[in-house]
Amino acid sequence: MNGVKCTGLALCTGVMLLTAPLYADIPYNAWWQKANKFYSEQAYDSAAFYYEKLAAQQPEGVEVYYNLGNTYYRLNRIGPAVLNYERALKIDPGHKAANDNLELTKSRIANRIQQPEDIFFVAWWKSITASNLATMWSVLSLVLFIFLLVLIWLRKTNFMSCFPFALTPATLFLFILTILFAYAASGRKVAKNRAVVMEQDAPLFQGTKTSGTPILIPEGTVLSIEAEENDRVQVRLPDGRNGWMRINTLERI
Amino acid sequence: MSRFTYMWRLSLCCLLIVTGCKAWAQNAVFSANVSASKIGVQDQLQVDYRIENVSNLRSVSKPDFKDFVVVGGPFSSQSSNISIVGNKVVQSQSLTHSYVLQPKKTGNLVIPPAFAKDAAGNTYESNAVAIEVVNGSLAPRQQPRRYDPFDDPFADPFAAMMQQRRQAMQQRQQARPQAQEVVAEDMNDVYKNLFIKVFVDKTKAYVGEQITASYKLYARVPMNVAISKLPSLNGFWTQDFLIPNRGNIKPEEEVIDGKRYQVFLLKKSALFPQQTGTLTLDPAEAEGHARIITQVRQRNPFGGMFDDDPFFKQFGSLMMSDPFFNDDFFSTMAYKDVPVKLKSAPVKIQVMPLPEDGKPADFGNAVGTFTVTARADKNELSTDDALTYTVNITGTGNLKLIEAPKLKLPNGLSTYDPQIVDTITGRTTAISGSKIITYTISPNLPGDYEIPALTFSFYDPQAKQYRTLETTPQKIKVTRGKHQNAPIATSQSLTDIHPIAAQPLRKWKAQSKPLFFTAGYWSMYAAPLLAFIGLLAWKRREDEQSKDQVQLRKRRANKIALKRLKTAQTLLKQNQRAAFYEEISKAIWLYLSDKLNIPLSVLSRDNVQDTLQQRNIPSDLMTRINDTFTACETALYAPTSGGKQMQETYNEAVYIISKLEETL
Repeated sequence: MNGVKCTGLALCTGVMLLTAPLYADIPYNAWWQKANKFYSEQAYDSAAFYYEKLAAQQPEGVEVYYNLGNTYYRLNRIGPAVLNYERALKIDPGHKAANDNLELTKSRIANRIQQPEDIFFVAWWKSITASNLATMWSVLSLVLFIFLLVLIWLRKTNFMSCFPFALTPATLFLFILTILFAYAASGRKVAKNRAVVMEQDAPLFQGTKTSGTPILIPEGTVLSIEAEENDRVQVRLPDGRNGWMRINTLERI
Repeated sequence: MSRFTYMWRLSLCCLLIVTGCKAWAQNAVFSANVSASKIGVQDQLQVDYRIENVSNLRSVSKPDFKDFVVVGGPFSSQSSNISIVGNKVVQSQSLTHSYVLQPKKTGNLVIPPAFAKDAAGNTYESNAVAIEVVNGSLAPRQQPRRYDPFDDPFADPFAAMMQQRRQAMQQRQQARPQAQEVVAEDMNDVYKNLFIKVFVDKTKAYVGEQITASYKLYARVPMNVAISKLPSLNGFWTQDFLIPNRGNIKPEEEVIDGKRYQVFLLKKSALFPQQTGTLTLDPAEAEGHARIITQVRQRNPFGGMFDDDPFFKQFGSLMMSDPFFNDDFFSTMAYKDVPVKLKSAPVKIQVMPLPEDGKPADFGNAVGTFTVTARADKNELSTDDALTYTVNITGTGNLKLIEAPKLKLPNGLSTYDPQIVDTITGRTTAISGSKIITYTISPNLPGDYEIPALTFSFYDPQAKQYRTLETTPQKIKVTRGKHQNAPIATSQSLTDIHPIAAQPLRKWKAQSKPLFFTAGYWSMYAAPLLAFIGLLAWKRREDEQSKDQVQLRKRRANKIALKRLKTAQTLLKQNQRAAFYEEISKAIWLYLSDKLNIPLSVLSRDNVQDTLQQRNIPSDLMTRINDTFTACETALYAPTSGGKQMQETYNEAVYIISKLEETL
């Protein structure tokens, strides 16, 4: 009897284990509510555990990353806090609360490496090709494309006399522009070339990859990855300096 | 000073000797004067015996003060003046012996007369003075004055010498039993008569509470002492009180065990203990010389026991019989400077920790009574500018040990380590002053900010409780400077993170590829594009096809026309008029329809004429076409025409079609 029960149980568990990833019926809202409750009770460790479980599913919304960032901020872990705020902002660059909190978190970094302000047109380009605008640009370019085809057709069938002559080239120009924006914005959305330093005083080697006196990079610094080679990556610091770092000191956004 | 004293005493002796050789016929006066005729039993009284114009004075006896205690004296002073009266030189001189007396009882007492002898053997007697002694003290304030060298009627250095002399005498009298002993014993005396004492106002204190410590030098002998080692006050922050300029220290007098001491304040400090436990005030040390008066007989010219002294031999017998000269005056002229090392006794102070109960979180070790104010030097500034924020803590207590209160600045404002200036203004009874903490605040981003209220806590040892003060918060406005192009501060004075998002999750969706990189998106492009291309192709084929049809009809038009004309010819032979004309008109109409690519339905005489005119058909042909149409129409409704007319119409139709075939 007992043996049979055990087998049944094992079977059941096995089936559950197999089916879980297949059907992925994860109790998102239950985890979410649990995590929020723990957070409000200031049990930040437990809150972080559930938020991390949710974040592992790579949700589309910003809330999970934002809340996880807050939790790590409360736990005084600058690196993970910056990482999660950055991830939230990657999804929605206009998220005001996340922006504010990130700024506050970054202000707590000791010996913070300051990023110079972007020149105005770089800032424009960045705001135009923000990742949350990717879909908008994509749809707009599609609409413009169809509009362009209609114009050409009308022209073919001698109905053009009702439209100004420059309409077709203007539409073509706009179409090229929007498709460019859509490409840049979508590229930003999938890009994995930005990373956060997760260790305090992570060494950065200038010149050669391993030797020389390293520069110590504070935890929470956001840098961009230029090249990758085995367990080393070439990074560029916010202030423009280059160097090599161990990949395990970083976490990609 | 003492040297000078010595000098004048010697000169007195010489004078006595010299004047002894001459005879002066002047009136001798010997009088006793008292400083007050009515005194309290606790008061002291000064008696002066003054001898004038007695030459060759040998001795002045000490009166027997039965009812009095000799507190000081005898002090001798001598004066002489030479005046010219007429043509005669008159020299007068006087010698005064003074005693300080304290009555033993109340009532009417008599100060006995004194006796003086001159070399000639004359004895002079002074008058006796009666005084009244009452209970208590009549002149409590006057009493010290009499001893205060600076207020002394004699005044000046001489008075100071008197003072020291008096002091020395007093000491000698007290030390009389040992006076005949050796010098070494006097060293012990020195330390009895010269020592340093430490006074603290409390021996139990809280950490940071002020303790006042005074280092006092007690002296009964002339001395010249300087502090050689200040006490090392480990565990305390010390702040010295102001001591009046050392040049004119006025020694106070203090009586300990009936002995009168001059007290000099060496050092007075406020001590603020910095640690708990039992702390020790290390001794203060002083070094210098004390002048002690000894019975060094070989130096005493009148000391009776030294028979071999020639000077003594001359006057010895006389001196020996006189107690004053022998004991009190000349024998004390011997003195000795001995080096002394003084050391105060260590004092233990028990320091208690401040009570934990009710201790504010931001307590910064301040103990005392304070007020705090804070002020920014401007309310409006640009990002290129900086602001000075001054916190002023004023009061009494351990000012220097106070930690600067922490400034919690909103995000967007930054500051560096503050400048701290401590100013001690009051040093009289308690250490008071102010601690000025200056923060330089530089704004990073434009916006409206508020410098939050600063809290400052201190422990009030009098009230035995903590107090917390708060400054007023200050609003400042930061405008954009010339060198600033950063965005405006997004959130003014954000000091903490925004709260978490707590609303339930919207539709759960995992992150997906951006639309741009999906096949579906590009198929959305492909679909209209393909449709467009298809449409284009279809239209082209359609165009081709319609073109072909026109050509065909054109080609077939002549054939059809000829066929209809053939039928018309047959009908002409059978003489069927109606059918013939119908066939003729049909032949022409259909031909035109096909040739001109105008559907039959819209075909009319007008549009045929327009189209033919466009195609440059000669006008006579046009007229003939029109005439044929008219002929056909009239023939159909007018049955009068004969066979000849029908032949003409046929010929016309053949001509028109052949002509049109040539031009079209």
